[in-house]
Amino acid sequence: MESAVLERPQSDLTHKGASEVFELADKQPVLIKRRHDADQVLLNAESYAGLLRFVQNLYLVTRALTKGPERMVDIEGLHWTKLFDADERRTMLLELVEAARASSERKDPAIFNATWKGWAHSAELMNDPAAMKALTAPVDADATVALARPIG
Amino acid sequence: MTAEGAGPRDTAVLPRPAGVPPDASPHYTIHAADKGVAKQWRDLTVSHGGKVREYYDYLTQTPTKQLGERIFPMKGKRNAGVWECEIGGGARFVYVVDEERKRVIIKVVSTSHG
Repeated sequence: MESAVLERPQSDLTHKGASEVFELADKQPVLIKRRHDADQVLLNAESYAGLLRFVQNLYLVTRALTKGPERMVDIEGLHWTKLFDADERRTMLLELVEAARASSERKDPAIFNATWKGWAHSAELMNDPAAMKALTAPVDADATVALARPIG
Repeated sequence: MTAEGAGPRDTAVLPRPAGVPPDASPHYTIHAADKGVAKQWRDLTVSHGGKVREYYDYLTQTPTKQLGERIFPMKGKRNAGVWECEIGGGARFVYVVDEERKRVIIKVVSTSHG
């Protein structure tokens, strides 16, 4: 989703332009201009969920920063970081702080969320022996299967 | 785009990678690491058809270009060079890129979290 906010008058939602506004909101937030300082923002559920994840995980990062990379594994919601060594956890915190800065600067929570997912999903994989076996196995060129473009 | 857990929709169109014309030829071919992964991939295309096709097209152009929260590198020393593509609704796949042969090799497919 793009981070820029489009602007549309409320009348666009009550007349024939409504479907266009909803279509736009699928791609980026739309600011609905209303009278009496009652503007609203229309955004899709995925973006809203992304905003919530951003806030929740940023809170965990601030707690981790107060504890440090050695003790952050004890924080509720961050136990999974024990799968990484202290050096990796230090890198994780540095990357997340940098991603938070970029998200703030560009008004785009996806930057932070993607970095978070990179670490959290990596931990999930590392906790799955079958997945890790598949990932660490060298690619056998004779065993690979070419995948055709899925038919629509 | 799809709400987490809400299942796929086929209406979203991924942005074309910067500098790539609409009729660009694929730069990379997409492969499953083995027959088992190929079967999981087929299952994914059945359950998430249009979305999978969009990501397939994207990866044939720029498999190591981050795309929002959907395509991103995995982290940690043991996961260097590993990328994830999140289709939506918990479905995702993990891949590596063979730059020499211009191949994207899918190693793990997951149709949902857990």
